[in-house]
Amino acid sequence: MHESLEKYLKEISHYLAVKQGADEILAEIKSHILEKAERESGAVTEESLNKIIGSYGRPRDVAAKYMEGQEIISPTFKKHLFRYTALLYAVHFILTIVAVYFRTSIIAMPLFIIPKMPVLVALNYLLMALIYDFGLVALVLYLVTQKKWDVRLPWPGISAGRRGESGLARPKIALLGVRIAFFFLLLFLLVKYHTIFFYNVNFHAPESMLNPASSVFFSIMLIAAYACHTIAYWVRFLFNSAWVRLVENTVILLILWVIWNSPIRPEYKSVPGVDLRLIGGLFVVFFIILAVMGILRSLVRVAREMSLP
Amino acid sequence: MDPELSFLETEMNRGFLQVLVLVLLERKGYGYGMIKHLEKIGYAVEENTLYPLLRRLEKNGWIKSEWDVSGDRPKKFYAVTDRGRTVREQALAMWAEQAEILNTMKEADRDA
Repeated sequence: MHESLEKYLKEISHYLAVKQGADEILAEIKSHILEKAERESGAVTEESLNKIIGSYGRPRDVAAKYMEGQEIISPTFKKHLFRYTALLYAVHFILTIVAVYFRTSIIAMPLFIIPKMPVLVALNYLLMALIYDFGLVALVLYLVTQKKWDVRLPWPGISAGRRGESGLARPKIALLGVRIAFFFLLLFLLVKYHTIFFYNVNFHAPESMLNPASSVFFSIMLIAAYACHTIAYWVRFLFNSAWVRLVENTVILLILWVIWNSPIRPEYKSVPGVDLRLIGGLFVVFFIILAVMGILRSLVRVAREMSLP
Repeated sequence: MDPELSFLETEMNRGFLQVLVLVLLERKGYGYGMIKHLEKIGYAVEENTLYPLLRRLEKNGWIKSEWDVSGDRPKKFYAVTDRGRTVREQALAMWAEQAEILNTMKEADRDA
């Protein structure tokens, strides 16, 4: 009984995933190591065995050599794995928002089981959904690879990539300057007039569309969203990645979510013939749609970045 | 060695070693003995490369094996099959053809 050799073989066996003949492989390795130890060191001792084992290779590498050409998922599906996951997750993401907003559950077995849940739980759920979607796509690609099904998996022709590897244009210094200037202009208006929602353009006696409390709150939130957009644009000079856009749009969506669910109810100025409440609601919905679209585009681009070698 | 050259060597050896084993196993042999024999003629091969290769060749039906349990410890002996001989001859013909193409190109370069 040679303890180190048995331990070594057990380790190889742990990694060895062959359909049949595992015992025979281990027996052959054992026979080889024992013979080599005896012939090269004169006797089979723990010391001589350790020396031979050390040169034979790490158990995981040894096992891997027996499994060459047996990929779990074919390398040709690498880009499918990431892009399909991104698309599935995008649908999952939108349905989750719908479910949370309408306080309902959405079930479409086996793709989606979205329970009725509050916003904080939904944030946690979205993370789990990403893992689930990745696993589901991986499972399908695993089956296609293992069964050697002769199928041509569809490849969605989304326009990401026309302007570079991830499809993101290079940021321009002039546009960054404009964004920063506009941000400071908004900030100046807020500090001076306590609003950015002007009803008239008379700066000597400005009137806000909203009551003072909600005017300040919503102005701050929108300026925060714009600041996030500007900072993300600046970060792209250092790291022009779809991840930056994804984080940017997600943070903006969260800010819009806070605006939509804010306990501060806006009181709109009464204007005959104009429904400012409706316009205000549409204004927020418009930006929510923009942020969601931004997230979807970013997800596709992130998937593209990840699938590039 | 340059890592790129090392990678090329590994790729070239992959096919070469298969043919070499098919030639070597015209006479029955076992892993450790084959490694030592190849070492003597100047070709070093790692055991964790040879054994998986033998398994693949056996799976293809190009070689066959049997355990010899008569000695101090059991040994798995291999020998080439008829199918393996046919493959070996085809591989050697391919190899000769490739060598000829290379020589022709080299000569053409020299004359140019």
